[in-house]
Amino acid sequence: MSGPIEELLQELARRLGRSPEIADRVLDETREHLEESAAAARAAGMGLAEAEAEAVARFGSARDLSRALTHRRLVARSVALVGLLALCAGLAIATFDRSSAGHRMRHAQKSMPLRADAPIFRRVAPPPSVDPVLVAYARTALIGLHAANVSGVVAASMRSLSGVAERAPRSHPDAYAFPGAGPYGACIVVTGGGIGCIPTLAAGSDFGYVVSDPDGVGGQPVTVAGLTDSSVSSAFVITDEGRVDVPVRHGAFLWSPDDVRMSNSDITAIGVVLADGATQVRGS
Amino acid sequence: MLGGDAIKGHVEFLVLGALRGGPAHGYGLIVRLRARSDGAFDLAEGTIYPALQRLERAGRVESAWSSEGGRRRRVYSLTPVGEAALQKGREDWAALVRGVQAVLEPGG
Repeated sequence: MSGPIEELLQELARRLGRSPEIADRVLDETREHLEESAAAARAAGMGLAEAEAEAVARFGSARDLSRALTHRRLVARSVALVGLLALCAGLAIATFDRSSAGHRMRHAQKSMPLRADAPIFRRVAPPPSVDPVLVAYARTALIGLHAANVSGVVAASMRSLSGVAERAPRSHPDAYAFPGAGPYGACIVVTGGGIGCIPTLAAGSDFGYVVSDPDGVGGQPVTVAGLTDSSVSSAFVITDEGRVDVPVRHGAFLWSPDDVRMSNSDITAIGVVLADGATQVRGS
Repeated sequence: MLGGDAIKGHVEFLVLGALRGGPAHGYGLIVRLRARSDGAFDLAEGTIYPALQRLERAGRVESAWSSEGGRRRRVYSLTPVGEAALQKGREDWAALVRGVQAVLEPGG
């Protein structure tokens, strides 16, 4: 049997073919609606064909209905796609960022080995800020991922992107650095010969590291110690106003100038608490 | 008679209002809207279904299949969330009407 109602239903089924999850329900409801509407028109005195045509005319086009029903789903899929693209780009940035930081670290360690008589820290000019476009991009990527509701992946990418996000432009007026290292932070190094400082990251970084090297330094590589295999249980810096614990980031004791800025105090000493409870302090 | 453009953006609100009278299926809601508005709305009847699905996704209505008189119908009803949304919508609408009326009235 063919008539205006069947024609509309066939067109609607064809248009909803790519959305099978909603097609059956929509087609059932539409058929029921049109038949009831046509029945009402017939009860008002219309003939069958006229009543069906009237019902279809009142209902509207299959094209408009299918568009309205699938538009939101297309938007949701687009948001998910954008989120995944943002995830890939964000992870690429984070990978590049980490790789670049590692290169700077290795370069600094080779070029400026630990000196036992090196001074501790001095206050220097603030470091240049990270490109705000990059930071904005990283944040946008996270927002996009949240919007896409890819929660498991978001958690992983949040960790990966934290290195980028943490380097957002800072408001601090000061940074601390090891003399001669440039205004970009310093390491606390634990060696067989004691605790010391090495200049660390090159331009673009404002973090200090605590590293552990049981084999000593002086031409030997110094590795950033993870907490699980480090002989260091905690680390701290001493400022004019007291002791400030160095927080754990990226599996190492790692601080930014924001952590140690206390009334613009200078850092006068650095220290670590070893796994056996012994404390080593260098500085005054 | 108000066409689709005039009530675009208010369809969901109108559907919630129509459901205040009790559960109904799609065609029943159209009949209810037509009767309550005294035929003021010239709305393509099919537009009610995307609105119902949006409301259902938002938790403002719920639905279930029902058989009555040999007909299988999807019957919709208000949820508590929908009741609250309707109340908020009524207050917002009343405020809008007061504001528009104050501007349009002579001396406004």
